[in-house]
Amino acid sequence: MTLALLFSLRALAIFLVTGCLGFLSLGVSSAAPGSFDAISQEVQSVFLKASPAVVKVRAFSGTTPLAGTGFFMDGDGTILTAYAVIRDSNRAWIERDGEKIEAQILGRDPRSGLALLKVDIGKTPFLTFGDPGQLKIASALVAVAYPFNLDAAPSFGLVTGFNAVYSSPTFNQFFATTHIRASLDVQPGQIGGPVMNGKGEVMGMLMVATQDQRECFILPSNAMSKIIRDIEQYGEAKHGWVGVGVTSDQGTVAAVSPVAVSTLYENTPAAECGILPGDRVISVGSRQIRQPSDVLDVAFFSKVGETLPVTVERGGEKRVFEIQVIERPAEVRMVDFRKLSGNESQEGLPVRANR
Amino acid sequence: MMTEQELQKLLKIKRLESPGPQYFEGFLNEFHRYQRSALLEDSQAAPSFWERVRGSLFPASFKPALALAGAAVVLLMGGVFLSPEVDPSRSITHWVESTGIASTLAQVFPGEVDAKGSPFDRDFVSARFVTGQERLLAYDTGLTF
Repeated sequence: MTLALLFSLRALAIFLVTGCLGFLSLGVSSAAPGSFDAISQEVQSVFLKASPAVVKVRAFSGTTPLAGTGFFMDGDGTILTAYAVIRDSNRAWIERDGEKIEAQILGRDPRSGLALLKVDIGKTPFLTFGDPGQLKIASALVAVAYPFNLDAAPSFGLVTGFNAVYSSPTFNQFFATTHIRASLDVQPGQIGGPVMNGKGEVMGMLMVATQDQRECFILPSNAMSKIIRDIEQYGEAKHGWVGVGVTSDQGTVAAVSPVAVSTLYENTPAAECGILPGDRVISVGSRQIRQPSDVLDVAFFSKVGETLPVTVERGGEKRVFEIQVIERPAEVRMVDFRKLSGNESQEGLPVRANR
Repeated sequence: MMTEQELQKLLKIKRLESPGPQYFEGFLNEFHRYQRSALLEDSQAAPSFWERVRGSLFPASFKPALALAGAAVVLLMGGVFLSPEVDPSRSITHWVESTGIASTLAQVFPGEVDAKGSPFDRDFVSARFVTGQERLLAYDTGLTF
């Protein structure tokens, strides 16, 4: 009896010790190839691949030195950076491997926020563009850029949204087209840096950090390609429009709701084609208009000279207008419909037309 | 060498000796002359009002000509940097280039100034590191198509 008890206690002890060892070994084995390490290795890989092609960019605004980041987009020394980094400067420099080189300014576009530089230093490493249309909420992104006067640093984050409006406690402002919003920690000086996916393909460029610097907005690479083509072809970006201002039916720009024409601009195709304020915009080109910011993307990717079919609804009836896209003027006046109807003579207010 | 007794004897003799009356009159005259000359030197060394003001503001090594030149340089540089609308042709970079001083500076301060007159390192210590918000505030894209 006693012997049997001893055997059963021994068996219990062996079972407990084996179980504990097994549990511990499981814990160790799950920590070794952990997901944190895998993420770290992937970010390191993107950083090491991208950093030779990322440069510091310097310029003057008046007498104020401006400092940001840029990157080579081809092997011939063409550099992409943000307009905010060079602004109206007539000279720009890059720093690469400690060497300061003056760069030629090929073009700049304040509306999209992009600028194109070139240095003549022979063959350069460069980054290739990917398709930002594949990004979804929570897709992983890596930015590589120069914070302040420090070395290039990687920043890892996730896509948190796709927005055409920059919203902050102090001001709201529309971008020229929908931007990628991401939880990337962006410090001053990193604007103009490339943002990549896990393969190291450029998804966009760092444009602006939120005020708390916990998120940032990224100009997608397909929008960059459009501006690059314009600058290469015309020497400047050509932004098209037809001359229509819109708002939501509720009078707010944030609501997802039918979009209504609110304003027409003088001497534009829209002012002469028959569209009227109050018309609900159903589609422009092949794109369905579900929210006011949809029209920004249509306009951004439109080409000057092409004809866009604009479908509107007026009094329950659909109407289609074929409108030719023209280049956005530097300044334009809104059409005053009271003046047209003869009720009251009053000139439309001049407004800046996004140049 | 004198013994102690001889020394005591000599001291007794000397104790009775004293200078004549001419010595005391001469001493008094000499004292008064020294006193007057000391007063005269003090009056000649006393600073004027402006000297006292200058002395309280500037060190003894102060050179008015150098100060004037320094003030002119400060005014000139202030005029260049504080101009409200800076014409590129008036920028310090343009000035450095046009005067041909860049190459001289590059020789004197190697590494501080590049050969094209761009004060890259020195100026960018105080550079404005871009956040991107400046552009958004300056350009209202509006909600148009």
